[in-house]
Amino acid sequence: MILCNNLSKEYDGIPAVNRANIKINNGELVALLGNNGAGKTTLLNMLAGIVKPSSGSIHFDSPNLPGPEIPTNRARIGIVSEHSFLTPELTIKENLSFYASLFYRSRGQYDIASVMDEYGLTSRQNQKVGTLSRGWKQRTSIARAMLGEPEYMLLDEPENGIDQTTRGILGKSLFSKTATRSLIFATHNIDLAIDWCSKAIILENGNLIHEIDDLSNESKPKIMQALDSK
Amino acid sequence: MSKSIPRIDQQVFRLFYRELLIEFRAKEQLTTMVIFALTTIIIFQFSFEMRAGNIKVLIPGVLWISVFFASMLSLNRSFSRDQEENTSRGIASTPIDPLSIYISKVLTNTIFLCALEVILLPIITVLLNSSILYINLIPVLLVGNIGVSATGAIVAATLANTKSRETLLPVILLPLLLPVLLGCITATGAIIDEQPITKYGHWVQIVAIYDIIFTLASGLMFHFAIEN
Repeated sequence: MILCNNLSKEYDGIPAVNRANIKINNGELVALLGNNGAGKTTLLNMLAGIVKPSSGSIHFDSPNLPGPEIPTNRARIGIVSEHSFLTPELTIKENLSFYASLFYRSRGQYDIASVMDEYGLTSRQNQKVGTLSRGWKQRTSIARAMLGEPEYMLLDEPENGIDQTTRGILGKSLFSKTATRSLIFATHNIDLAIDWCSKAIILENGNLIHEIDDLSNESKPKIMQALDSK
Repeated sequence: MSKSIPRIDQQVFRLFYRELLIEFRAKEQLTTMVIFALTTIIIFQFSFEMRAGNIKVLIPGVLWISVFFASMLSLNRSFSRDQEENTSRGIASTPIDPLSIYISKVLTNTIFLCALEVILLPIITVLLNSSILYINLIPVLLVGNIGVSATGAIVAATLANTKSRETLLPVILLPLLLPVLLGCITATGAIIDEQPITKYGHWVQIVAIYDIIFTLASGLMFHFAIEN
């Protein structure tokens, strides 16, 4: 479970996220919707421990326990963004080995070969990431995010610029293996949010303006209205 | 449920190994540093040949100015490269300590500066016709390289997301590094003049103290730098 209490982040006095109170249960699939500048990426960055909140707190598992500021808690998070987070000068195998080595103490704890096999990367394992197409980079990025077997998957518009096949691989990898994996999916794609998620949180100028608990195709007009209302 | 995440020494080694692997592949940082430093020395050599009476007096300044500006290229590239695919954000989301990132960057830049000097010193000896290959120079070079890298890493990380980082880095760093550069230039000059260690040892100590203070302070503040 992830619990955000009055979570705020300001940049130069301008609130990017303003007093957000959010609870995400284990296995819950949550879409973060909002126009550009709504605060989706900032919220995800705080949940990932990349950005420290200006005020408020994030707790994992229980309101008394710490959040992503603890390294062992960051080991429970996987993040996929429109950027790959990969090093262009290194090969697919080297990139995955590098990231795995940051999650695990010893080599015996992870198996790069099986991850590459699962994501169809084995035949290209020695290709430099800088020479890959957008789709293959994103496929490698998904494999990278899955290396730590995350309990919380944070997606920051990962569908941008990828083809149907890669989107299918992303979807498959998110919903396979564990039913307890929580998903927080920031996107502009309402159809994909409805397809993947069971709950939606709508942000506007850093404020949480709407929550929809039973996300379905019937929710679409409500979402459109909330996004257009401001 | 907690995973057995890497110890801080393992984190530093793994980040450092990545930096070396990138340099081995791309050959960007060290190559540009060597080319820049060589060009600077050749220009100085032509200038001194025509005007200066005693070239030996000018060598310490030429050496450290070349090293300082060459390190700007390396530091800038080291951090800006990680912005291209947002790799810095990816690394920050893993369970590693920001201190490990800082130490690995300092270590990499220090090693690159040492490699640059290994190439540069014999060339200076030949071009300026004065030997500066003294064993006593090693500790001076080492404390100087650490000082430049330790201070440079935190400033470069802070400026990594700014548009004018290439211009701002030397402008901010030069005043901060004045104690290091002055200490190293004076000590290098004394070694070239074959003076006893009592004449320059205190300069090495001052730079070493500067290194310790700046490394500790920068290490503690580094997470603020990478967050922004």
